Amino acid sequence: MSSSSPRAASRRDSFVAFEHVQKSYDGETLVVEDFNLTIERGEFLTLLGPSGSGKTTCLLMLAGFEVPSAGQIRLADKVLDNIPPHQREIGLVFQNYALFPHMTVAENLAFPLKVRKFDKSAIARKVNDTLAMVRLQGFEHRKPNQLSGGQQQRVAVARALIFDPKILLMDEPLCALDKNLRDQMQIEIRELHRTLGITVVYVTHDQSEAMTLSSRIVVFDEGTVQQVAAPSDLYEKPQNAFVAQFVGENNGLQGTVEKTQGKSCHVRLRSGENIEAENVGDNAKGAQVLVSLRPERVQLAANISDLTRCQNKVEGKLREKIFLGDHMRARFFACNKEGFVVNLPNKEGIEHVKVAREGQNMALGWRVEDCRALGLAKRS
Amino acid sequence: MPVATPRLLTAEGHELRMVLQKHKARRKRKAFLLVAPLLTFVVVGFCLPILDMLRRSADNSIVEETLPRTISSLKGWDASGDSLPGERAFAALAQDLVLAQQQRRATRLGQRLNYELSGLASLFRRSGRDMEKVVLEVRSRRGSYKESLIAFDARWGELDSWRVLKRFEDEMVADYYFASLDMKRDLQSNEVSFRPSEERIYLRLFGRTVVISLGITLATLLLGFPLALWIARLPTHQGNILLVMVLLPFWTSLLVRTTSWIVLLQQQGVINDLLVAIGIVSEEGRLRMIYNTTGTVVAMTHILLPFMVLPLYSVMKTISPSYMRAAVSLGAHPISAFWKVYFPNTVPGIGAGAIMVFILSIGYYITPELVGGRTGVFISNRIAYHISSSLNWGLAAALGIALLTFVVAIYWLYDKLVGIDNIKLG
Repeated sequence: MSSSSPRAASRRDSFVAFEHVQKSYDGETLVVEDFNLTIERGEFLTLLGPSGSGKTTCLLMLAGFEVPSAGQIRLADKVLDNIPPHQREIGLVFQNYALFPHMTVAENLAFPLKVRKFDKSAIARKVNDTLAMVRLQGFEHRKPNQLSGGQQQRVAVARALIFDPKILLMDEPLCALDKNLRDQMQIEIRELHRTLGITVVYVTHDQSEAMTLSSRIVVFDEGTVQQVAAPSDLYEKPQNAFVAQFVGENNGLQGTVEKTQGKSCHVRLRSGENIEAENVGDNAKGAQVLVSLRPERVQLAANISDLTRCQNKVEGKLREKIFLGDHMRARFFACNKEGFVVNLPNKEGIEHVKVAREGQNMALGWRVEDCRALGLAKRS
Repeated sequence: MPVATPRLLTAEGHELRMVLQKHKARRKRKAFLLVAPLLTFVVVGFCLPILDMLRRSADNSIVEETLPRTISSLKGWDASGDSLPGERAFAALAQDLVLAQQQRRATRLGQRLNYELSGLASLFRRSGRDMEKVVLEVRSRRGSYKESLIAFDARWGELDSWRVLKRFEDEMVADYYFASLDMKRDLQSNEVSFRPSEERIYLRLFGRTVVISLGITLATLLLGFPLALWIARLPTHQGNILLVMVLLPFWTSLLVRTTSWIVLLQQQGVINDLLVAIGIVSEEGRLRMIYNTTGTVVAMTHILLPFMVLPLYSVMKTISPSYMRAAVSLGAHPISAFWKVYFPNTVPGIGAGAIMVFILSIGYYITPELVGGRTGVFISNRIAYHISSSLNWGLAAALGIALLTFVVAIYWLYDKLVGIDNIKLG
C-alpha cells in the first residue's frame, strides 16, 4: 500500500523527499517497498513500526549508510544518491548513543567541529554553548562511561546537533533508558525541537513515545507504509486493521458487512450480533471487516435498557476487574471474544462497576462514531 | 543513625558474630584445600627452581670448601701488590690439594676457576694428580713448598693464579653477573670494567634478542591487525571458523611447524625452486632465507601470530560498529574515522598482543636453535649452551636472571606507560 497522501506530496516546502524508494538486502525480499514520503522543514516526524518493519532501514538510507535498491532521496532539493554519508550534514543519534569511549564529553562534542577544521576558540565556544543547551556544564572532562544513561543521551544529542546539521535523525534513542527517565527525556527532546526548530526524523517501536513527540507519524509494517497522520488522527481514525491494532489498545471484532448506509455500515459479527460502525475505505456489502473499538469508548451498565445513548449494545460476562489508580480496567467475555476490554476513568459514575462481581452479566454499549469497520481483504 | 543493638545470639545462645566468623574461616580453609595441589606444584616446580637458579648465579662456596687452609693463610696477603704469598700459603695449598684430590674435587675447582682465568683448569688437574708426590718429596727433603710448587708448575709462581684464589675466597660473588653483562673484574686492581667491544658476546646477544623480538612483534602486529579486523567484522559463524583456523597451528607440534619452514625456505627449498623456475633469481643466486636472522623472524612470526590475533580480535569484537557510523555521520571521512575513533579503541588489544608476543619471543629457544644459524640465535640459546655444553651453570643462571630482570622491567615500563589494567586478553 502506498502511502504519501496527495495532500503531502503537493506541498511546496518539501524538505526531504523519498520517491519510490525500495530496498532489498538479498535481492529477493524487499525490506522497504515503494516508499514515498515528503517531510516538511521543522517537522518532527516519527517512523513507527514493529521491529523488522523497515523503519530503521529508511533512516539509514537517509543517513547514507544504506543505499536504496531503487528510487531517489532528496534533501533540500539535492539528490542524495551520490553524496557519501560524511558529506550529508545529517545529525544521527544512535540507539546505544555511540559516544566515543576514549574521548571526554568535550572531545566528543568537538569531534564534528575538528573534522570540519574549525579553529580552537570557535570549537571551545561552541562546545560550551552546546553543553549549556543540554545542561551538562561541569561534565566536560568526564568520559562517557562516567555518565548516567540520561546524561549520555544528552551528550549524544548535543554531539549530533553541534555542527548545525540540516536534519536530525534519531534511531530509538530512548530505548535503553528506564521508564521515568524516558518520560523526562521525551520532554527534553520536545523542548529542544521547539527551541531549535530543526527537522527531526525519529524512529521508534514505542507508540506512546511516538504520540508524545511527533507532529506526524508514519506507521510501518512489513516494508510498507500503513498510514501517515498526526498522532490524534492515527489514534482516532486508523485507516486499516494493522494501524488500529498497533496504535493504542483496541477491541477488534471480526464480521461481515451486511448493508452500507452513507458513511456507516451494518456489520454482522461472527458471534451473531449486529452492530453499526463507521465504514472506513468503502467496504462493500459482503466484505470481511475488522471493527475496531477503543476500550475507553465502551460504556457499562447493569441493564441494556440503561444504555440510552448507544446505538450498539451487547451483553457480556465480567471476567476480571483490575484497579489501576487513574482508571479501572474490566475484561469481559462478549461478542464471543474472551479479551473484550473496557477502560473506565476513575471518577463518579462507575460505582456500579466497582461493586460488580466477577462472573456477573453486564451491558456494554458504544456509539456508531466510536467504532470503525476496517477492511480485512489486504491483511488478515 | 546506627543504634547500639544488644549482642545478637544464636538459638543455642552462642554469640552470632563468632559463629559467623568461624563459618567464614571454615569456608576459607576449604577454598585453600582446593588450590593446594596447584600451589604445591607451582612452588616446587617453579618457584624453588628459580630460587635455586638465583643462588647458583652467585654461589662460590666451592673455593672455600675445597681450599679452606689456603684461603685462611691468604688473609694477610695483598692481592694488588707485586709479591707472591709466603711459604705458609704454598704449604696450605699443597695440603688442600692433596685432600681435594682424595675427595675428587680438584678438577671441579679448576673448572670453576678457569672461568675467571683460563689455564687454571689444567693447572689444578695436573697439580691435584701429582701433589701427593710433591708433598712427600718436600717432606723427605725438608725443602720449601714454595720452591717445589713453582718448580712443579711455573704457573704457581705467577701472581694472577694466586690473585684468583684471593678474589674468589668469598662464598657469594657477583662475577657471573659481571660476565653475563660482558664485564670483568680486574684481578689486580679489583676494578670492574667492560670487556673490549670485540669480546662482548652477551650484550650483543641481548641486544639482538631484543631487536629481533621487536621486529617479530611489529611483524605480527602488521599481519595480525588486518586479519583480526576482518574476522571481527564477519558474522559470528564465519568468524568462528576463521578463528579456528587461526588456532589450528596450536594443534601442530612446534617442531613440525619450524621444520616445515626449513623445507620452504632452505636454498634447495620450495620457495627458492619456485623463484628459480620463474626466473626471478638465478641458480647461483639462490636466496639465503634460513639459518640466519631472516629464518628466525619468519618462523617465529608465524608461530607467534595467534598470540597477537586473539587479543586483538577479542578487543575489536567489543567495539561497536556504531562508533564508525557515528564518526562518519558527524562528518569524518571513513579513513579519518578509522584512525581517530576505531583505532584508539583497539590499543588495549595491541598492547596485550604486543607484550605477549614480545615476552614470549624474547625467551624463545627451539625455533632460533633450529633455524637461527649463527646470526639468528637468541640469548636463550646461549643459556642452553652453558647449561648443557659448557656446564657453566653459574653463568647460565646469571644470564637467566638478567633476562628475567629485563622482562620484569619491560612489564613495569609497560604498566607505567599504558597501564596493565588496559590490557585485554579476552
